[in-house]
Amino acid sequence: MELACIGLNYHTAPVELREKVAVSKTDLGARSRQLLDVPGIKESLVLSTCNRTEYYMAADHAQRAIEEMYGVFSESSEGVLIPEQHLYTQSKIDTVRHLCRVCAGLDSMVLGETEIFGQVKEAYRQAQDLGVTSKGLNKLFQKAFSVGKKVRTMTKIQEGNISTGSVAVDLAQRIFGNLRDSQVLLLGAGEISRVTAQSLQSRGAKSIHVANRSFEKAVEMAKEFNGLALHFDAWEDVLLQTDVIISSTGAPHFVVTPEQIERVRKKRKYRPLFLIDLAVPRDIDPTCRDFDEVYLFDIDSLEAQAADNRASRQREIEKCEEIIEEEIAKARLVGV
Amino acid sequence: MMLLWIWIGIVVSLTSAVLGWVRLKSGQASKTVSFVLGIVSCVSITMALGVRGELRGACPLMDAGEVFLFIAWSLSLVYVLTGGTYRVSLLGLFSAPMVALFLGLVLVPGMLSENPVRAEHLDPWKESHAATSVLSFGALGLGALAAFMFLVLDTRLKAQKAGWVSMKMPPVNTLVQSVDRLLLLGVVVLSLGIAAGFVTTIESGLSHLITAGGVWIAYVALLVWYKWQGMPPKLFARITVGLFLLSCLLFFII
Repeated sequence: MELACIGLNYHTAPVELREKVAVSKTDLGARSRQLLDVPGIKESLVLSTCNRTEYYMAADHAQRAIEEMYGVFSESSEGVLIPEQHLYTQSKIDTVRHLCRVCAGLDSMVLGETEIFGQVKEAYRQAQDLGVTSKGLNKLFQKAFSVGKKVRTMTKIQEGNISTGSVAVDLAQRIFGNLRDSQVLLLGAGEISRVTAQSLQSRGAKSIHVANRSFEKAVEMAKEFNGLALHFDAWEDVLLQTDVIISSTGAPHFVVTPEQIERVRKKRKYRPLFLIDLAVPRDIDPTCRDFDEVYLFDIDSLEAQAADNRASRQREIEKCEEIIEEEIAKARLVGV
Repeated sequence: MMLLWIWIGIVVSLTSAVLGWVRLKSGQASKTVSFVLGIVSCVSITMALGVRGELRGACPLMDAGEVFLFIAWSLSLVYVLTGGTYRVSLLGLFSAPMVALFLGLVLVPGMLSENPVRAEHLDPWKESHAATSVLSFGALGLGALAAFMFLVLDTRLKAQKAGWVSMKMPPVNTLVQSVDRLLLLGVVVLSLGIAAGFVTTIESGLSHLITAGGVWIAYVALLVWYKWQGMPPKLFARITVGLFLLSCLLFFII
């Protein structure tokens, strides 16, 4: 018995091809069972996410199974022939290495992302429920799960947020801790504000005010966050109770000025105020950061922080690969 | 025997600090490790104080070395009692070097009298006054440390550079709340100490009274101003650190 894998991912195939062979989450088990009809294949498992579709097999002969699978891939692609250059294959020990990299997030579009781990687990659960995995794939997947966990625990591969929105939310938590009691004010109803506000809400922020030059748009966005819409010239009225301001208007001049903050400082009892300026040209006068209790981050500083985190994850790759190699060397797997 | 306990305290505190920073840097900061080592350090200093107390036949607060030993003890005790409550995990990391520093000062030649005079009679009010006053400095010292941590975090955030240390530190609001609560605790204990001082006779007399009263008034004024009028957190933190250093200096001089 030998282990093998065939598949395509975002590295090798564009989305137009990936969507042709994608298997829906609920059909993963059934699809895995279909593969057992292919001659020589004893165990099988299908993993399919938006970035990859992969077939894992334990077969009498790895190379022969892979050759058979080229045909199966084409059959599953709604009649569109998948050119061979878009597919990759792994056999024996390379299958183990590949799956470990997938579970550790090293093969993901967003390096170190955690979602893939759950997706592999779900695919394995479905295949196991239908009894299409046995000794070969069971040992392979259990090993890959333990290696994936070890890599994530022993390295910084999943540390630090790598999108500007998430970095902003992290910073808000550095200032306020729990965001449950924090009041957020959105100036401008643009997409980037919406995404950042979504992140804040997902981490507990409950009270969100939206002020926009077009009041209809403000109402629309406020509805989405279960918040309150304001006319743009009324935003200062809520400054007293606001903790976080996310600004992304198209204004050619500063919208938030030191004078506006100065007026409410004492009444706010100098509570920290977090200003996130996502606009270009900038909405918030940079001299606002001269107030002791004001923390101001603009789009460049958020992007720089996200880039630092991305670079930090890149630096961890070598360490992750070492752990994977050590663990593979120690493992006693079938079919390698 | 006392020196052995002090050395154990120094080694454990330094280990806690080094281990804490190494683990923090590797992304595996552990509150538990700092907390457990804090307990071990506190126990060893308690043992050292116990041995010294036996020699004195009284609360060991009669020379500079004993005062430093007592401050180290109160710092580690207050950390053990309050660190977990306020979840200021890194407070242990910051306080451990401070405990080691005070224990190191005890070992400086001349600080600890080699032939301590045994107390002829016990004055419980005087002992309570000395013990609670020094104990309050544990809380005020930890408050200053939390304020220092805030200043570190604030500087990073103001420079728009969060960095890995800031990401591991408690949030700004938590640190400011901790400073506030630790100062309150310190002032309450200091008030008890000063009250006990009025019942007994203190050799250093008026200068001691003025210094103690001045320190107490300064801390109370700071807290009242902060709570009623509000104050930018950075200013609050700076005053807290400055006041602690100044009061330590004043008490050392008198």
